[in-house]
Amino acid sequence: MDKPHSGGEYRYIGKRIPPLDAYEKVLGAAEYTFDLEIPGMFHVKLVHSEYAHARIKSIDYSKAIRVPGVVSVITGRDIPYRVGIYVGDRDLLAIDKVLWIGHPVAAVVAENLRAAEKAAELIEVEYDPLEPVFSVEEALRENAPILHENLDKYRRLPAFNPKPGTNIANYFKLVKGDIDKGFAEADTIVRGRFKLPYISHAYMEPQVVIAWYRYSGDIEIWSSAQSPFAVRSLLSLSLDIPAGKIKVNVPYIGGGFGGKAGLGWEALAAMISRHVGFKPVKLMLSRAEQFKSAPVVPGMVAEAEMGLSRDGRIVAYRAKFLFDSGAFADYTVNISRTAGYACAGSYDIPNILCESYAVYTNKVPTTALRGFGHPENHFVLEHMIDMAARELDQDPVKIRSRNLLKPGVSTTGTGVRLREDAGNPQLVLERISDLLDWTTPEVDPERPWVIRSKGIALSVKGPSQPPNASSSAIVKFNEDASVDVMVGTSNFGQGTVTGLAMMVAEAFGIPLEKVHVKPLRSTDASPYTWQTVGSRGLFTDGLALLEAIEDAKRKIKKIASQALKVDEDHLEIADGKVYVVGKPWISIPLEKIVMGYQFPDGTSVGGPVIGVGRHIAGLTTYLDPETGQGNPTIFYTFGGTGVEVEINILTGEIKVLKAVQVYDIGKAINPLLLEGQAIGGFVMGMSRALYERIIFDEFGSVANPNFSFYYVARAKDAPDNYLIEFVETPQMDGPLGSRGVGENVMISVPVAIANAIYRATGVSIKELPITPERLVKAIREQRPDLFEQAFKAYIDSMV
Amino acid sequence: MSSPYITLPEFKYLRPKTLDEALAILDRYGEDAKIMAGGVALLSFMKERLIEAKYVVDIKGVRELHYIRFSEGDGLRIGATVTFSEIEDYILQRGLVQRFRALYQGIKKLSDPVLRNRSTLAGNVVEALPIVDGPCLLSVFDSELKIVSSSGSRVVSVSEFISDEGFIDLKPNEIVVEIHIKDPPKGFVSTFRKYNPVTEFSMVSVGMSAIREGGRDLRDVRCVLCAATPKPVRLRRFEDLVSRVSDLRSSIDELLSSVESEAAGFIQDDPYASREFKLHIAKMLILDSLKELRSL
Ligand SMILES: Cc1cc2nc3c(=O)[nH]c(=O)nc-3n(C[C@H](O)[C@H](O)[C@H](O)COP(=O)(O)OP(=O)(O)OC[C@H]3O[C@@H](n4cnc5c(N)ncnc54)[C@H](O)[C@@H]3O)c2cc1C
Repeated sequence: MDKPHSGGEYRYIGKRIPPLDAYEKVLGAAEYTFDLEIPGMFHVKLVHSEYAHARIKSIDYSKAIRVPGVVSVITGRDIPYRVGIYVGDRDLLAIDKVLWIGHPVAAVVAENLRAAEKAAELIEVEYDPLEPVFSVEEALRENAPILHENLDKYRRLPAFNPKPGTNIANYFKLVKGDIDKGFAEADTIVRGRFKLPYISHAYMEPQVVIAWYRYSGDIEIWSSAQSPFAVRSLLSLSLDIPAGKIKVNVPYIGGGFGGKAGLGWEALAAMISRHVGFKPVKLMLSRAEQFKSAPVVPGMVAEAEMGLSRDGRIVAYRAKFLFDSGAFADYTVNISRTAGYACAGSYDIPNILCESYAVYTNKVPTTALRGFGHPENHFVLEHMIDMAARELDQDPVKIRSRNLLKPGVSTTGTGVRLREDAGNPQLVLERISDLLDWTTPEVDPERPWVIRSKGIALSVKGPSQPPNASSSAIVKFNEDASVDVMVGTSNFGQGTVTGLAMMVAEAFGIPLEKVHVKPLRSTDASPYTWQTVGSRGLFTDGLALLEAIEDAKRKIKKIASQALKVDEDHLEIADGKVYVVGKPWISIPLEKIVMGYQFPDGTSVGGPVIGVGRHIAGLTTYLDPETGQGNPTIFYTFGGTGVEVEINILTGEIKVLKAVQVYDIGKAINPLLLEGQAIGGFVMGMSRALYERIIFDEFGSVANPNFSFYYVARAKDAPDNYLIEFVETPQMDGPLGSRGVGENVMISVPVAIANAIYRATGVSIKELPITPERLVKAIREQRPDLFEQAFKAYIDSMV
Repeated sequence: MSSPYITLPEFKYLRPKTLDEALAILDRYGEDAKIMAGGVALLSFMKERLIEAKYVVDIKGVRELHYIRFSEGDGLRIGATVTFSEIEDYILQRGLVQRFRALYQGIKKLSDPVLRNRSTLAGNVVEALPIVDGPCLLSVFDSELKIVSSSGSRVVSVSEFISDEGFIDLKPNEIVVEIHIKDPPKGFVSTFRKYNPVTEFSMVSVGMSAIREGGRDLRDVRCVLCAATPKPVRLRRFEDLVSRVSDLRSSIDELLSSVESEAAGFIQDDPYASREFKLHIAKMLILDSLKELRSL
């Protein structure tokens, strides 16, 4: 992008500008789908299965239907559709068979929510229980009960590989080099088994949708969804309705973190709307339903093996990831695939074998979360490296440095040469280690039973999207030469739209106040984007926007050239004006151009200016089904985390004192919002490391479906000290050289914390969350001497 | 605490202005009426359909229940509608922090200011779930509840008010009007420890008080174990032992095994922590409390 005429400095780009929607949100004035009402609208309440695996014998709603205000009760047989983004394995309401406790079996529709809730209690469902499976290990056993007998009949995208007749929803394999040879050459081998729990996205606004199926056959949806166009195309595909008949509106969204990607409850609500006589209906989940019936985040177990040469080169890496997808693997198949192809992280490893499975179990279904397979595979890889470092008596920073991918030189795990401008992982590592003061020993605290320690971990992440994912953007001028920026990418806290608005203000040299990005996304009024996921928004929609800006500029110059009688090539746009190059005193303000130019005699040329731009992934490919080799992503953002923690050996309490976050984002378009992401990502990662887990009881029911017992980090738990830095190695084809970073900022946090514990104590914790009990137990098992010493020191301090 | 419900069930909201009026409402509607103070517990339980109330009787408008007083020798008297924040401010402003230290510490650790601005000590004690702190804090002191109905009034100690199984001694027509925390004797020291890094609520809490007469030794120790137990439990054998200890170091093992044998029977596994771990934390909190009381 040209720098503005005056001074040659950016006016907006690189400046700390607060998010444009901050005031509305802080004042509580922002309207979310939850707030919307349509006159005459009905309310829907779901009835949930009480069995983890059972055939439905009968559903008796005779009592429910008599509750005053109740309009109708709908069951799965009324609407026997299957939906999904990658694998169409989801039903709208259970059809004949329930697959988890919480599986919606019926929907009550009533004039008001209270009546619907009351009636829902009165529905009696008779079940024929089937044997359930609750863990991936059980589900993979031969003769395990099968959840989806018709797996082969489901619609799916070609990148996925289910195994009909089993509970395997997807199998992915990455093969690079010769794994056996690699291990044969290794001087040392470290091994580990890792486990991550189911967690919740814990976004503030539970899922909510309003749907109105009209007599004309047109459907209008309002939804708390991340990606209106994905909702539309999936509705169209699964309900067999032309896309043009469907309109999806997305107002402000109360958080998403990936959990509102793909399709939510829109298809169910739309079919209910039709069923009750083409009336608008609203379905909103309570927090408990959000935990028990809506998709959460998969658990994982993994086994890994790493072979190294004596000098600390990683020569072979083998990993197997089993993702617990719950009853539907719709989106989780792609998490498993991504964890597999990105298993080697930031490292140049010659011999790799990574296998990854998504496995059905009789638990609440799962979906994407910020990081998408990367927090999982990095938790394994980055801890294995620390284990190897200890085994070889090497420094964890140095061993990482020795193995890092070199842009322009190394090939990635999927066999592509890392592009020259992919970033500077060595510098990232150096900066983390400097900011953390890595080599300075921890201060000796007064309380010897409390240990301080530092840990680091690196991460790399690019969007996991179909190879043809595309975006578009429009800049539309208004009479006052202000600009409506129209993009498909949604804003649920990332700040992307603020960055996009800044790019437009910069390009035309107009005040930011004159750039308008409306909160509402709508498939009718917004230009297309595939989805708002994968840290892709600023990159893909930003590139489309830059093209739209160029298009608008061309159109403006064409009009101005007629007005000024100067060749278009001799014009430039800055400070809200069109100038003649070299004669900046000859100019016309944009106001006089953007609706067409009028000559003094009244005649006119040109017309309203609208710039259009687009972007498509381009050179990314499908991955080879046998080897996983290919080009999966449009950029790689390298980064990492350093932490200093305080560990109470006796009570297991862990306090993070300092957080270091460094990411090579190419170009910091808005450092303030970047820091916001880095801090938010840190706290989210820390919360996952130390607190978050969905607990299932012996029947497979969620035992802690609320924030009192599903603990999420509170303000008091967050560290006081953040050191955040951005490296700027521009990516030549990125918007202003930038890359996406929204997810990466949390990927390495949990493992950095685990590594910090390991560094000071030698106690390796391979299971999250690192609860006090788990930590104390691990210390007592792995380092009883440490525990005894600490206890003795404590007693000494008493007397 | 979780609910598939978004709505509250229907109810009538009543706001009496006097205690007599409130008592008359209870007499009239019996079990159908429920007293509301802060409403923090009542409304959540109603939302979960765990408490049914056709009439919600908000006593925050009853002026005569809104007071807090301290007098030397008598102690603190706290009316039923006084919030935790109001108690916190009062203790601080009247210079009573040392005297009621455990109470003050406990209130400071009770959730967050938003919640403390709303919820009352009386409501908390009537809620009486193991996870709430009020009964525990009161058990560190000699405390009594004054309870009235249209037919009279009575006074019960906190430990009598809550049965061993955790049920409360309150009839539908009764209102807790006052909490009386007796003025502690000279040399009295107290402290409160709460361990809650795993859920919102406490996993184990310990309240401890003692008399210090010069030196570091403690006399008349009172040790209350809470949260992991169905109600606050006094560890009497431990109290006896520790009140007689002369050389703490050589007695540690004995003290801890007395805690173990006394507490073990009350503590259960739950999904958030094992029995063993809770017991371990209980011991650590007890040691920590001892350490603090000895160094005050
Ligand atoms: C997010 C969250 C965090 C919390 N954290 C903590 C914590 O850390 N520690 C803690 O101790 N608690 C905690 N609580 C619980 C909370 O403190 C209690 O629910 C609150 O103190 C109850 O007081 P209230 O005034 O709101 O009572 P209400 O909800 O009004 O009443 C509670 C019960 O007592 C009855 N009642 C109230 N007043 C009287 C009276 N005068 N006479 C007779 N009956 C009466 C009501 O009918 C009801 O059954 C937490 C709650 C939440 C939601």
